[in-house]
Amino acid sequence: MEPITIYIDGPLDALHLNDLQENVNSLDIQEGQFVILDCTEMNYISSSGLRVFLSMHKDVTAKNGKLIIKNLQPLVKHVFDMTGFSQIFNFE
Amino acid sequence: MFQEKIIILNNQLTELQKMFDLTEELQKELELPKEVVFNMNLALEEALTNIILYAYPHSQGTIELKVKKEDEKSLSFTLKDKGIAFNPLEAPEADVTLPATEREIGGLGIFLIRQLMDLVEYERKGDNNILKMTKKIK
Repeated sequence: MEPITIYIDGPLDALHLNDLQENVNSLDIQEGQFVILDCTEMNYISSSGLRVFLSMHKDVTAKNGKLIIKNLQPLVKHVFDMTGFSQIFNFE
Repeated sequence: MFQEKIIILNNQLTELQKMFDLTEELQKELELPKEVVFNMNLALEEALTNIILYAYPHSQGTIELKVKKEDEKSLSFTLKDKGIAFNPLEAPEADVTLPATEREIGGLGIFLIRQLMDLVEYERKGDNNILKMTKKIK
Protein backbone atom coordinates (compact mmCIF):
# COMPACT_ATOMS: atom_id res chain seq x y z
CA MET A 1 0.00 0.00 0.00
CA GLU A 2 1.30 3.43 -0.97
CA PRO A 3 1.81 5.90 1.85
CA ILE A 4 -0.19 9.12 1.78
CA THR A 5 1.92 12.29 1.68
CA ILE A 6 0.53 15.60 2.92
CA TYR A 7 2.46 18.78 2.09
CA ILE A 8 2.09 21.60 4.61
CA ASP A 9 2.79 25.08 3.34
CA GLY A 10 3.21 28.28 5.38
CA PRO A 11 2.39 28.85 9.03
CA LEU A 12 0.38 26.29 10.99
CA ASP A 13 -1.23 28.60 13.52
CA ALA A 14 -4.73 28.93 14.94
CA LEU A 15 -5.67 30.93 11.83
CA HIS A 16 -4.62 28.35 9.25
CA LEU A 17 -5.43 25.24 11.19
CA ASN A 18 -8.78 24.57 9.57
CA ASP A 19 -7.27 24.14 6.10
CA LEU A 20 -5.17 21.23 7.31
CA GLN A 21 -7.92 19.82 9.51
CA GLU A 22 -10.35 19.74 6.56
CA ASN A 23 -7.78 18.05 4.34
CA VAL A 24 -7.03 15.49 7.00
CA ASN A 25 -10.71 14.79 7.63
CA SER A 26 -11.27 14.10 3.93
CA LEU A 27 -8.51 11.46 3.84
CA ASP A 28 -9.47 7.84 3.74
CA ILE A 29 -6.68 6.27 5.77
CA GLN A 30 -6.57 2.50 5.47
CA GLU A 31 -5.61 -0.06 8.08
CA GLY A 32 -1.83 -0.18 8.33
CA GLN A 33 -1.24 2.74 5.99
CA PHE A 34 1.67 5.13 6.50
CA VAL A 35 1.04 8.88 6.41
CA ILE A 36 3.88 11.27 5.67
CA LEU A 37 3.71 14.94 6.63
CA ASP A 38 6.15 16.84 4.45
CA CYS A 39 6.94 20.03 6.38
CA THR A 40 9.59 21.50 4.07
CA GLU A 41 7.51 24.65 3.54
CA MET A 42 6.00 24.87 7.02
CA ASN A 43 7.63 27.92 8.58
CA TYR A 44 5.76 28.09 11.90
CA ILE A 45 3.74 25.98 14.31
CA SER A 46 1.89 26.76 17.54
CA SER A 47 0.19 24.48 20.06
CA SER A 48 -2.92 24.55 17.85
CA GLY A 49 -0.88 22.94 15.09
CA LEU A 50 0.68 20.46 17.46
CA ARG A 51 -2.81 19.44 18.50
CA VAL A 52 -3.67 18.47 14.91
CA PHE A 53 -0.43 16.52 14.56
CA LEU A 54 -1.10 14.68 17.81
CA SER A 55 -4.63 13.75 16.84
CA MET A 56 -3.40 12.49 13.45
CA HIS A 57 -0.71 10.48 15.20
CA LYS A 58 -3.33 8.85 17.41
CA ASP A 59 -5.67 8.12 14.48
CA VAL A 60 -2.98 6.60 12.27
CA THR A 61 -1.49 4.58 15.12
CA ALA A 62 -4.94 3.27 16.08
CA LYS A 63 -5.14 1.83 12.55
CA ASN A 64 -1.73 0.19 12.99
CA GLY A 65 -0.16 2.65 10.58
CA LYS A 66 2.62 5.11 11.15
CA LEU A 67 2.76 8.89 10.97
CA ILE A 68 6.10 10.19 9.71
CA ILE A 69 7.16 13.82 9.84
CA LYS A 70 9.66 14.95 7.22
CA ASN A 71 11.90 17.98 6.78
CA LEU A 72 11.11 20.19 9.76
CA GLN A 73 12.69 23.64 9.60
CA PRO A 74 15.07 24.29 12.53
CA LEU A 75 12.89 26.83 14.39
CA VAL A 76 9.87 24.55 14.05
CA LYS A 77 11.91 21.56 15.19
CA HIS A 78 12.84 23.55 18.28
CA VAL A 79 9.12 23.81 19.20
CA PHE A 80 8.84 20.02 18.96
CA ASP A 81 11.93 19.66 21.15
CA MET A 82 10.75 22.12 23.81
CA THR A 83 7.35 20.51 24.14
CA GLY A 84 8.62 16.94 24.21
CA PHE A 85 6.82 16.16 20.96
CA SER A 86 10.12 15.08 19.43
CA GLN A 87 9.90 12.01 21.67
CA ILE A 88 6.41 11.17 20.43
CA PHE A 89 6.62 11.51 16.65
CA ASN A 90 8.59 9.59 14.06
CA PHE A 91 10.89 11.78 12.00
CA GLU A 92 12.64 11.19 8.74
CA MET B 1 13.22 56.40 18.68
CA PHE B 2 10.80 53.53 19.18
CA GLN B 3 7.19 54.57 19.59
CA GLU B 4 4.97 52.50 21.83
CA LYS B 5 2.40 50.55 19.79
CA ILE B 6 -1.10 49.54 20.76
CA ILE B 7 -3.55 47.35 18.87
CA ILE B 8 -7.03 46.22 19.84
CA LEU B 9 -8.30 42.75 18.97
CA ASN B 10 -11.81 41.34 19.15
CA ASN B 11 -12.24 37.90 20.68
CA GLN B 12 -12.12 36.02 17.38
CA LEU B 13 -9.26 33.84 16.19
CA THR B 14 -9.12 35.68 12.84
CA GLU B 15 -7.98 38.74 14.80
CA LEU B 16 -4.63 37.01 15.38
CA GLN B 17 -3.63 38.35 11.97
CA LYS B 18 -3.36 41.83 13.52
CA MET B 19 -0.75 40.51 15.94
CA PHE B 20 1.26 38.81 13.18
CA ASP B 21 1.17 42.09 11.21
CA LEU B 22 2.41 43.95 14.27
CA THR B 23 5.37 41.64 14.86
CA GLU B 24 6.27 41.90 11.16
CA GLU B 25 6.34 45.66 11.61
CA LEU B 26 8.55 45.26 14.69
CA GLN B 27 10.89 42.98 12.78
CA LYS B 28 11.44 45.64 10.13
CA GLU B 29 11.66 48.58 12.47
CA LEU B 30 14.02 46.98 14.97
CA GLU B 31 15.77 44.62 12.52
CA LEU B 32 14.99 41.68 14.75
CA PRO B 33 16.47 38.25 14.05
CA LYS B 34 14.10 35.69 12.56
CA GLU B 35 14.33 33.52 15.65
CA VAL B 36 13.29 36.33 17.99
CA VAL B 37 10.23 37.09 15.87
CA PHE B 38 9.31 33.41 15.62
CA ASN B 39 9.40 33.06 19.40
CA MET B 40 7.49 36.31 19.91
CA ASN B 41 4.78 35.15 17.52
CA LEU B 42 4.50 31.84 19.30
CA ALA B 43 4.26 33.27 22.83
CA LEU B 44 1.80 35.95 21.72
CA GLU B 45 -0.35 33.50 19.77
CA GLU B 46 -0.56 31.17 22.77
CA ALA B 47 -1.47 33.99 25.16
CA LEU B 48 -3.98 35.60 22.80
CA THR B 49 -5.62 32.32 21.81
CA ASN B 50 -6.28 31.56 25.48
CA ILE B 51 -7.90 34.93 26.01
CA ILE B 52 -9.88 34.81 22.75
CA LEU B 53 -11.27 31.35 23.51
CA TYR B 54 -11.90 31.61 27.24
CA ALA B 55 -11.98 35.16 28.62
CA TYR B 56 -15.40 36.13 27.31
CA PRO B 57 -17.63 33.05 27.21
CA HIS B 58 -20.76 33.71 25.15
CA SER B 59 -20.03 37.40 24.69
CA GLN B 60 -17.98 39.80 22.63
CA GLY B 61 -14.98 41.43 24.16
CA THR B 62 -11.73 43.13 23.29
CA ILE B 63 -8.08 42.60 24.08
CA GLU B 64 -5.49 45.34 24.09
CA LEU B 65 -1.92 44.53 23.10
CA LYS B 66 0.72 47.11 23.91
CA VAL B 67 4.35 46.87 22.83
CA LYS B 68 6.92 48.96 24.62
CA LYS B 69 10.67 49.14 24.66
CA GLU B 70 11.71 48.54 28.25
CA ASP B 71 15.37 49.33 27.62
CA GLU B 72 17.88 48.96 24.79
CA LYS B 73 17.77 45.20 25.07
CA SER B 74 14.18 44.26 25.72
CA LEU B 75 10.60 44.65 24.55
CA SER B 76 7.52 44.16 26.66
CA PHE B 77 4.13 42.95 25.44
CA THR B 78 1.19 43.75 27.68
CA LEU B 79 -2.17 42.08 27.11
CA LYS B 80 -5.19 43.58 28.80
CA ASP B 81 -8.72 42.18 28.77
CA LYS B 82 -11.88 42.63 30.81
CA GLY B 83 -12.82 38.97 30.78
CA ILE B 84 -13.21 36.56 33.65
CA ALA B 85 -10.32 36.69 36.11
CA PHE B 86 -7.66 34.22 35.06
CA ASN B 87 -4.06 34.03 36.18
CA PRO B 88 -2.28 31.80 33.65
CA LEU B 89 0.75 31.61 35.91
CA GLU B 90 -1.30 29.66 38.43
CA ALA B 91 -2.75 27.28 35.84
CA PRO B 92 -1.29 23.77 35.73
CA GLU B 93 1.47 23.39 33.18
CA ALA B 94 1.53 20.62 30.63
CA ASP B 95 3.67 17.60 31.46
CA VAL B 96 5.88 17.47 28.38
CA THR B 97 7.33 14.09 29.26
CA LEU B 98 4.13 12.08 28.82
CA PRO B 99 3.69 9.64 25.93
CA ALA B 100 1.23 10.38 23.10
CA THR B 101 -1.65 8.44 24.55
CA GLU B 102 -1.59 10.42 27.78
CA ARG B 103 -0.86 13.78 26.24
CA GLU B 104 -3.26 16.63 26.72
CA ILE B 105 -2.78 19.87 24.91
CA GLY B 106 -4.13 22.04 27.72
CA GLY B 107 -1.38 23.84 29.59
CA LEU B 108 1.00 23.75 26.64
CA GLY B 109 0.38 27.40 25.81
CA ILE B 110 1.53 28.74 29.17
CA PHE B 111 4.43 26.30 29.17
CA LEU B 112 5.60 27.74 25.83
CA ILE B 113 5.11 31.34 26.99
CA ARG B 114 7.36 30.69 29.97
CA GLN B 115 9.98 29.01 27.80
CA LEU B 116 10.01 31.75 25.17
CA MET B 117 9.71 34.92 27.21
CA ASP B 118 12.27 36.14 29.74
CA LEU B 119 9.78 37.50 32.25
CA VAL B 120 6.03 36.85 32.60
CA GLU B 121 3.90 38.77 35.10
CA TYR B 122 0.17 38.72 35.80
CA GLU B 123 -1.94 41.24 37.62
CA ARG B 124 -5.68 41.58 38.20
CA LYS B 125 -6.39 45.29 38.35
CA GLY B 126 -10.03 46.32 38.81
CA ASP B 127 -11.88 44.28 36.21
CA ASN B 128 -8.80 43.83 34.00
CA ASN B 129 -6.54 40.86 33.46
CA ILE B 130 -3.07 42.20 32.72
CA LEU B 131 -0.43 39.86 31.39
CA LYS B 132 2.97 41.39 30.78
CA MET B 133 5.64 39.44 28.93
CA THR B 134 9.16 40.74 28.47
CA LYS B 135 11.56 39.48 25.84
CA LYS B 136 15.24 40.23 25.33
CA ILE B 137 15.84 41.18 21.72
CA LYS B 138 19.62 41.44 21.83
